[in-house]
Amino acid sequence: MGRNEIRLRKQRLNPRRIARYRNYTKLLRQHHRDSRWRLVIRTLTYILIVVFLLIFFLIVLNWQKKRNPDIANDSVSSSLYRSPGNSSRMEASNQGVKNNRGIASPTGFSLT
Amino acid sequence: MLSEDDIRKEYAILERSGKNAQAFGELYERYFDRIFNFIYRQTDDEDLTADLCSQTFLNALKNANRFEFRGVPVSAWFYRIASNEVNKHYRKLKKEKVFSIEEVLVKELIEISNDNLPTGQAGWSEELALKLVEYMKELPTDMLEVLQLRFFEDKDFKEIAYILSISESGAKMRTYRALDRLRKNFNISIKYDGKK
Repeated sequence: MGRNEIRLRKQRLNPRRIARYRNYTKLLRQHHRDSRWRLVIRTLTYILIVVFLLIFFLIVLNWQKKRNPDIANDSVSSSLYRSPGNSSRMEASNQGVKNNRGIASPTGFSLT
Repeated sequence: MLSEDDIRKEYAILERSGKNAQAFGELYERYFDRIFNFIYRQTDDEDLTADLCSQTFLNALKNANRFEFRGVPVSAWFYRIASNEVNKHYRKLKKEKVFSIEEVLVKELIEISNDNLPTGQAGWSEELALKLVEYMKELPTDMLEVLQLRFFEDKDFKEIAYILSISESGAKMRTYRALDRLRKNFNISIKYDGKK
């Protein structure tokens, strides 16, 4: 068994026979059709990328909105209870409640 | 052989084709027959050749902007695309490659060295042709490709190297090896660059 198939032809291809397959108009038409398809596919790809990025951006924005109030509350309360002057401020507010009989806020200001 | 100036002119046509596909028509008309014959020698099927040939020119037109001038004629680029299309076809079908060679061309190529033949024996015979075919079956595909381009398509080594994406010395080496084998096996001398 050979590696390739070799055929010996008696005659050359007739140029007239070849001319039957030569059709530049057809080739040009196919080229325009292919170009149009390529353009459509490229445009669709760009649109899909933009839509994907937009969705991703909206998801991130939504997630941040949900997460932000918790983060804000957490940071306020933790800063209050961890600050060095926290104990004296708390005492002062307690004093204020005793003296004014008003409602003391955690920041030390009393509401009467 | 095309002169450097002619090659540049063809290159200019190809550059224009990138913007205006109509300009490509000139190159298409000029090289269609040669590319068709080149593909037909590797398929032996007219309809398949027509398909692969139109795919070759379609690819060339699509990539006209990407062609880089490397001192070889534009036709070498067409041959390269055609060769890739043919190889792709055979890879897809997982079939062995067909080489369909015109007997007339082989006769032209090989001149029997009368000194090596017994007296009275005719130079070219059917028997020799069959032996040659049997022998060529055993040659590796890359050697046959080089032989086809060198002797049936009349390409120089620079073009062969470009078409097959190999080095020029590689193309020469493959050709010489194939020819040496032919000489040894058949006691024939081969027309080769004017030397026998």
